[in-house]
Amino acid sequence: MLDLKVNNATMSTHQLNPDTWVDQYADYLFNYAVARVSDAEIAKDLVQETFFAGLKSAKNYKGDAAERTWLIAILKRKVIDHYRKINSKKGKAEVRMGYTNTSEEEGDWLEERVADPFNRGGDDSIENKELGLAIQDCLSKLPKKQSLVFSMKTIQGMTTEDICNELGINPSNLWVMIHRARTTLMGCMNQTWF
Amino acid sequence: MKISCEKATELCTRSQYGEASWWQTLKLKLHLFYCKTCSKFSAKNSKFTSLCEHANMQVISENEKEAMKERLKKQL
Repeated sequence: MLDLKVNNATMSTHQLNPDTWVDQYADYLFNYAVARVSDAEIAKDLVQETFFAGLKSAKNYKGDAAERTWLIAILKRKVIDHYRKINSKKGKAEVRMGYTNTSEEEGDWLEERVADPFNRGGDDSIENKELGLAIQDCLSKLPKKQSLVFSMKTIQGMTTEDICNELGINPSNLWVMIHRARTTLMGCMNQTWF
Repeated sequence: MKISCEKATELCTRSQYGEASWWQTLKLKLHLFYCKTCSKFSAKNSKFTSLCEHANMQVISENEKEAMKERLKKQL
């Protein structure tokens, strides 16, 4: 349907394919958001808003960042806006309570408080957030059905019987798919996590 | 009693979810006893299980994803 090619002189290979956004990135963005707003419903809304905003500003996409990086950047703004909204409801005092008093850094503190996934800290929960995203990243590279079966079983904790009924497969199919998925995932995650 | 490495690794995956039968577990254990390669795989598989548990992952259900796609299509 919509395929926005970038014909810039400085061009790279990146381009946007909004048709595949939900399948490819929804879970990744969702985990990113959930780790930061700690509320699944709000996180889902933020993901949807991110996709809308992505469509709207698709013409500004220069192709110098990968699609997902670009969407994460938008989501990051959405998370910040979300906290701004909450804060403005609480009253101004809290918003102005910066940890730095130099005027040129004024207004920066909310941004700085949104954790950067690329900035590794010693903090356990930060590590867990990154771990979840790393698994999610590898998961998005699997064939659709394998990743679906794997997440139903491992992440949603559904019973074998329920999954088989829902997808119309038999248990030995299911185990073969889960086994293949896990083997590929372990290979994908190898360097950093094992 | 003897099983292939392929079968052993698959049983190993089943046992990660606590869904290998008593008999399957026994066959697996015996295989792991003499097969270094599968032992290694088994250790890695267990480690991966614990990684998944610690990751606190969540997914958006397929129904909700479909709804998201619909809403997105309307904007196109």
